Amino acid sequence: MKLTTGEKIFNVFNIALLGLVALITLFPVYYVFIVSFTEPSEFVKKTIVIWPEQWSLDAYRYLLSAPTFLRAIGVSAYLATIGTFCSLLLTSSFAYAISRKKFRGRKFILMAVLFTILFSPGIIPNYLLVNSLGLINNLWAVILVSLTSGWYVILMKGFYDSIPDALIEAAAIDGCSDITAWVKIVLPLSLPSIAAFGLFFAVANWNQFFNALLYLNDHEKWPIQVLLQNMLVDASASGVSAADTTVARPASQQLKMAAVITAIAPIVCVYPFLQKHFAKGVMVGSVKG
Amino acid sequence: MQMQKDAVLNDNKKMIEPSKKPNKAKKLITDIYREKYLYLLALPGILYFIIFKYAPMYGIIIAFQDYSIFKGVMDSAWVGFDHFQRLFSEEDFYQMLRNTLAISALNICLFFPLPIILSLLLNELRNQIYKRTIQSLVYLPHFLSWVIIASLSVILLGKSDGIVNFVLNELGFKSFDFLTNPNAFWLLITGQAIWKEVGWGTIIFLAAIAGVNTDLYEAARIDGANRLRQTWHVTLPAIRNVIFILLILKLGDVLEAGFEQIFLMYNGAVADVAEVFDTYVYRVGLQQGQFSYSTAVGIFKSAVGLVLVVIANRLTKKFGEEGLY
Amino acid sequence: MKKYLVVATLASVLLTACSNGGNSGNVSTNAPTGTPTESTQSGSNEKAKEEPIEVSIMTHFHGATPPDKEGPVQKAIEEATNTTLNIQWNSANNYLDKLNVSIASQQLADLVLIPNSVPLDNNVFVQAVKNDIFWDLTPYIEYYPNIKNKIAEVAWDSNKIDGKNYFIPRPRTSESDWFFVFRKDWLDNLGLSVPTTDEELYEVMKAFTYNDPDGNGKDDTTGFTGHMWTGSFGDYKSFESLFTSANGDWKEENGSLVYSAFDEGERKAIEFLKKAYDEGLIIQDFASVTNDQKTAIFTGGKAGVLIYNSATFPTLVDVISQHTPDFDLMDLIPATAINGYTPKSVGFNGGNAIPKTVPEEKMKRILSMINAWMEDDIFAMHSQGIEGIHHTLENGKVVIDTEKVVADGLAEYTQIVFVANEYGNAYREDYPEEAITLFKNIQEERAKVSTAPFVGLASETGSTYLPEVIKDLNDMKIKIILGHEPISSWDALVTKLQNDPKMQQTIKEINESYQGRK
Repeated sequence: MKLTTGEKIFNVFNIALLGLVALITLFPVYYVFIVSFTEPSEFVKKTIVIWPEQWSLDAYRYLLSAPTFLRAIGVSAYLATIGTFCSLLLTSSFAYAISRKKFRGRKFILMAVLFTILFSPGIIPNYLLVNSLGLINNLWAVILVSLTSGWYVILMKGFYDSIPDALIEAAAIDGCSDITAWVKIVLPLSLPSIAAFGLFFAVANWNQFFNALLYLNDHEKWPIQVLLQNMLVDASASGVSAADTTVARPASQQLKMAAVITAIAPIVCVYPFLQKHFAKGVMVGSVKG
Repeated sequence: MQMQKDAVLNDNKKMIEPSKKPNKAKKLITDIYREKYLYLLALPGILYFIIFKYAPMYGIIIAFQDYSIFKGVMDSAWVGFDHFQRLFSEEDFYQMLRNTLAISALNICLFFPLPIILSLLLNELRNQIYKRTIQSLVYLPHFLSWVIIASLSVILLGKSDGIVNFVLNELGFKSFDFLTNPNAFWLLITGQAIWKEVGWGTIIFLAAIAGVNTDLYEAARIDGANRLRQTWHVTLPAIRNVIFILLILKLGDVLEAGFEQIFLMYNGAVADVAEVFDTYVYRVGLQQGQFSYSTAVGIFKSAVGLVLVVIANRLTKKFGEEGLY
Repeated sequence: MKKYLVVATLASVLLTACSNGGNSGNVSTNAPTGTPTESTQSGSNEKAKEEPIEVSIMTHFHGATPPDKEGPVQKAIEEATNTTLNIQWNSANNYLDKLNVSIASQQLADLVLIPNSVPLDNNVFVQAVKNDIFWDLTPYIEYYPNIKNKIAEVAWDSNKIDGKNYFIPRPRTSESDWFFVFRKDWLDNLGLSVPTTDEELYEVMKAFTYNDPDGNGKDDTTGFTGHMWTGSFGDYKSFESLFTSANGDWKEENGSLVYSAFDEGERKAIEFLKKAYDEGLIIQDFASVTNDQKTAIFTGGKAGVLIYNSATFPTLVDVISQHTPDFDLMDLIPATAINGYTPKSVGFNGGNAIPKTVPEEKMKRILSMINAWMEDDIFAMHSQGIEGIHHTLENGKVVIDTEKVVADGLAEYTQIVFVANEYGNAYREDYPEEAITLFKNIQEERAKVSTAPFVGLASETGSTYLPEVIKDLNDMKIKIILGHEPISSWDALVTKLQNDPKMQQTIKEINESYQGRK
């Protein structure tokens, strides 16, 4: 295929622009990454370190060897897998059902779901609910409270809207059962959205922090973000416990940055596997007319 | 298969008894039974929303009470619209409203289109390896908490030691006040949000683009369309409904202004442009245990969002789009 | 739904059963109120009579991880106090949310931390007291010698609600509060002495900025580094105090309290800071830097004046010595008093309360527990740990394995129980002799003139009104310092506030509360 000159220029421009965008957005993460490996003494003298003269794995050694951190990572992994699976199952089935035009009452349900996005009653009623369900200090409290939200349901439904009923009915007429039609037609078409929402849920579950703090009393059940956030945010400067002279020495910059990288790392590893679902277009058996 | 059999049976029934007017209730039940798998699919979702979203919803009424956590919702006294009156007669109410709306407007005009454009550009990359690399890098800032971004902002944009000002000085320009300059605050906030979220925002659009039927591209190409026209006539329309859904949802959040971010970037110099409802509520309400007041402010924000969503949805439908409901 | 009710009922039955478990085997059920149920001699034989009780404690931690409940230190504390501890460690950042939901759902632990520096500032807590949620501990305190004696009078007095104490204040050292600290090596290089007046302070800051105090030939140093945060003027309050002679928001004048921001001195402080800022003597980004960043500026050798505390000097020294050879404790020096002012701290930080859901007998056992915990050898474990694991004895001196102590999070126990050492803010036991002598002297000099703050005064109007006032005042100060507003705007604001009926009402209520204390 021959490209016009205009298209060639555009390609070059596009490549350059996107490269620049990537660099700009990458910079803060790169900085955090580098600081986490920098020997603290070097970091003190110059705040900006482009490339450390002295590399140090101390922070990571500390994070990955302390049993509390390892246990917390395990909890987060549990939440990220089980929680994501449950979230995807619930959201996609719900979203698919209400995307079908023949679902009676879908408009009412959509309005009800939309209402929950806009109005939320605050933490006390939610806590009282979880309490009455007997789920305080139970990891399932954390999973269930954030299983899904109106935002995900409505957005996912938007994806399912683009799968016309005609397609499914055509398959049915051709002799496929409901299940086969669902597996052969709906599933492949919704893979990109499942990949995207799977990623969203996984990230949200991996980053669970406030709900875990609220509902889990045993610190042994905490996911990793609770510990990491505690290191990052400087409670001693927030005014509540202003200048409490007994507060233990705060974590070093190196440790804090290592904490951030540890939190990001798993998602970064997972993302490439999901990327192939974001490729351009999906081959679909076409529907005439 | 079952679907078809039932449909045929029903049609037969109608032919045999043409004189009987269809019983509305009976039709509803048969419809539901016919689509039973559909309703079964939706059942867990419905149950979830009832238990976890609607059951706690009663908490909203504390906005109309003098709520005491010791008496609970049932026994707290009613005060009607007192809290709302207090909010509206607050000296800085219009200032907060203006600030919040300004930040939201910038967000919708500047921030919102960028992930769309970015994902379209990404889509145009030929080299898959380069495309995947860029995709894997741009979303990373999403994971940095605002705490980190705020302190990075000081390192970058600080007046005395900031990198940007250092470079500006080297080039012969005067230092620019980014952080304590009320005129720059709104753009600063929007800029930070773009920096942090533009890459993450592309994911949803890339997923939508991925769902486009490749046949349509083929057809357009045969019709002589170049890449730009293909994008305009094939890609964009296909992701249009996702764009509209996200836009309408964003309008619902019009009076939300990113509490954590603003709280961290707040300082006395920019107070007049940085004060939003959430920072106000945090200072006056929550710190003092004024749950009723903070809930009332929350309801006010949600109510405004609701009005905008309803209007936007109606307009979207008028233009022939799907809308939210 | 029924199933959930059953589960919930079961859960609440279980919970109450657990918290009542301590009633078994208790001898003195008919004893008059006020008598302790257990001998306060630790390690005595009488303890064997009673079963250890399970005590749940709700508290917070600041470090990386909370201590392990199976750890040797916790076991030792449990043995010494005859308890089994169920400590619910919470993140310090979100503790208040947790406290609120715990109160709302009536799920309070047996011993609850009220984390605000001044618990009486926590409106929810005060309302809880008025709603009879917590025990009035006043009549019981005198039976527990450690609790009574090791917590200062002023701490008890400052924390009364309607004349009664509803929580045990967490004691803190009251002398040698955070104040101006200087790079002594820079002072020596420039031939300057520690300032005692604000003019001298200004001169020092100026010299640090322009006279190359570190002798490296580069113009890379400044005078003062500090930070502030929303709702507080932060480190810069220390400057205000130099001119108002007030420690905090209230100042005593002729037997009643006035709002220190309205004082003439406050205006002078703002002018001082503005002049300093214009001449580059304080860091340019003072309004935006975080706590970490401001300290890093000092430890990076870029500023020479800081608000700090000599007992925590090692944190600074460790970092500075990495790039400045031969830097040690004696190269930092705290000011004694400037303009005759030096701050005294309140002597407490936060407090622990016991909810009334805990039966009286158990409440007394909890007080005994705290009493036993405050014994010197038990409390020492917070910093030393167990011999052989966390420290060794060499020639009678304790050599602490700091890494292990930090890794085990032992310092977090201090959030529950603390024994204030008189010189705790001046020096640490492991300082070299000459440092100890120096800082001890400075503290004793300070004690002669130090000014205590007025805390915990109650004003109903003020509780919702004052946060707004503080914000408006702080915002104005920053604008004036940066040059966005002229000093006349300050005068206008002060006049406006003085004429505001809500302000007048607040001042009246604060004074009533103050008089009630005397």
